[in-house]
Amino acid sequence: MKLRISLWTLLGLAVFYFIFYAVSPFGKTVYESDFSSAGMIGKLTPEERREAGAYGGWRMIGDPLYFSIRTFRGFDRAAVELEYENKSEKPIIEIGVLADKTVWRYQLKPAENAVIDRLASKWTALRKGSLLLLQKRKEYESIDDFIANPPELSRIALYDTELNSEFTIGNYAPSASKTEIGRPLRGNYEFYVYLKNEPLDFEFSFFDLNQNKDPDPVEINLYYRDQPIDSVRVEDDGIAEDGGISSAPRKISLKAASLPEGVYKIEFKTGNDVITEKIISNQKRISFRGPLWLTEDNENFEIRTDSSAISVNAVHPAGRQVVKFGTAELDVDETYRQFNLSAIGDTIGFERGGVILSGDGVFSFDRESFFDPEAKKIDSNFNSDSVDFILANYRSPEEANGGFKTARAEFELKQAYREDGAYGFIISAPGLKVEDGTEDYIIIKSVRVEFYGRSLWAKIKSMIDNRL
Amino acid sequence: MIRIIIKEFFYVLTGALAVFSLLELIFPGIVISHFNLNRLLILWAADAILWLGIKSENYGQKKENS
Repeated sequence: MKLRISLWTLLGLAVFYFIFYAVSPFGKTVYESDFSSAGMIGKLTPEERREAGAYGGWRMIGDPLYFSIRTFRGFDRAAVELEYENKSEKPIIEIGVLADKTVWRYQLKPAENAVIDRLASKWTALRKGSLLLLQKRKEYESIDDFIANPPELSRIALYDTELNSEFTIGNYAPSASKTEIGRPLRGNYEFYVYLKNEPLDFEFSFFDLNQNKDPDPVEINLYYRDQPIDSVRVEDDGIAEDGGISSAPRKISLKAASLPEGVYKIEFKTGNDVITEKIISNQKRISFRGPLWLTEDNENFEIRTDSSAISVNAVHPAGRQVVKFGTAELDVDETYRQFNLSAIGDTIGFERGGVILSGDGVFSFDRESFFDPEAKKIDSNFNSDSVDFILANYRSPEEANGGFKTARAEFELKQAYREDGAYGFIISAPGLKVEDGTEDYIIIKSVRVEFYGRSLWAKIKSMIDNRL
Repeated sequence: MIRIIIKEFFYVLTGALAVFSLLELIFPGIVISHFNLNRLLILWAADAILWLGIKSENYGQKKENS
């Protein structure tokens, strides 16, 4: 009888534990995995970018790797701890959470930045919390002082942080004529526009290729200082077939008046079936952020950029070509393969479109409209000679046993995308490629994720408050 | 004694399989995120075989006695 009671009590405790773990009544739960089997934390994908490690763990041989974490309830915040060993020359490893599935945008946080780690030992370093300020020559006594009186944006590189410093163009005057961008672009894109004493006025002409059955609504979002301030939307053309019959051209306008002088970001958010044929605007300074999908209809054109490194991926057979960047040439002789080039030059010459272009700077379709409001970013092509200050929201990873390191990154999950109860995560090491034939890799040993959210009591209390 | 242990384990493992399967149906992943249900099934099957073996032995003895 005692045995029976003991065994059934054990089963009852197990059931209680599972339910308790799922509900997380205190608002906190922890998941851990070495990715050997799929549980609440899924396997690392895609398979072709990982190999089983000799002594456990996985070798990340291509960038990026994805994994998902299924939770039984939503959470507000996640702290991710990644245990890894970097056996590659790639200086940057980042962890991210999927924020927007339409444009596959991840909220990325640093795991390791060897560029900053190296410069931290050479330059003067100041730290306040997770903020790190590196100065080539000491000009500021504190980070607060730096933030209150920042130098020119061109002297600063930022990493995972923003500086509340307003970018302005001296002697700027609004244009009397319209700017027309007639280079067809496919899918999503975003660009910066500069305004001063003028209304914002954009008209986008687009059509739907109807090559897949998914609806393709178009949403245009306007941001000022990274905050959304306006949005317009048009629904799908209503053709739910994938017969490849293009819709009639349509137009959507974004207008806003009485905006203060400054840089605004416009995001054109849609599916890959939508082609923007033309953009007409009153504004004269317009610069695009990559990636830009230039359709195969584009022929013999040039793009102005301040990138020091570009990537070109031919997504159409017509996109195979020799791309000219400054005095250098990039032979894009294969489709669906990313070709990279670092060079000095401000113009990229294309024979045809059918390519996706990205780079570490911004792009514009004519010289007059070019401007770059972004502070320099610290990536694998970063040149420390070009700046005097680095402001980073970064902590170096901690040394763990056996040559491994533990990196920690925190994410706000309120803006994260959750589908079927799962959050999507990414491990990124820019430049790590399967096809380059080198024996470089990163060993991913394990991941530990702490989720924080409202307690059960807080949820019940808010439900009662809402009822009253 | 062993017979009783095997029988009690069989009952509780049957109950565990039923409850865990039901939990998995309602909240997918709630149990398998902690352990593999296949192992529980193997344990249950092994226990069931043992119990059947003991029962058939007893049945044989009873038949001989009668």
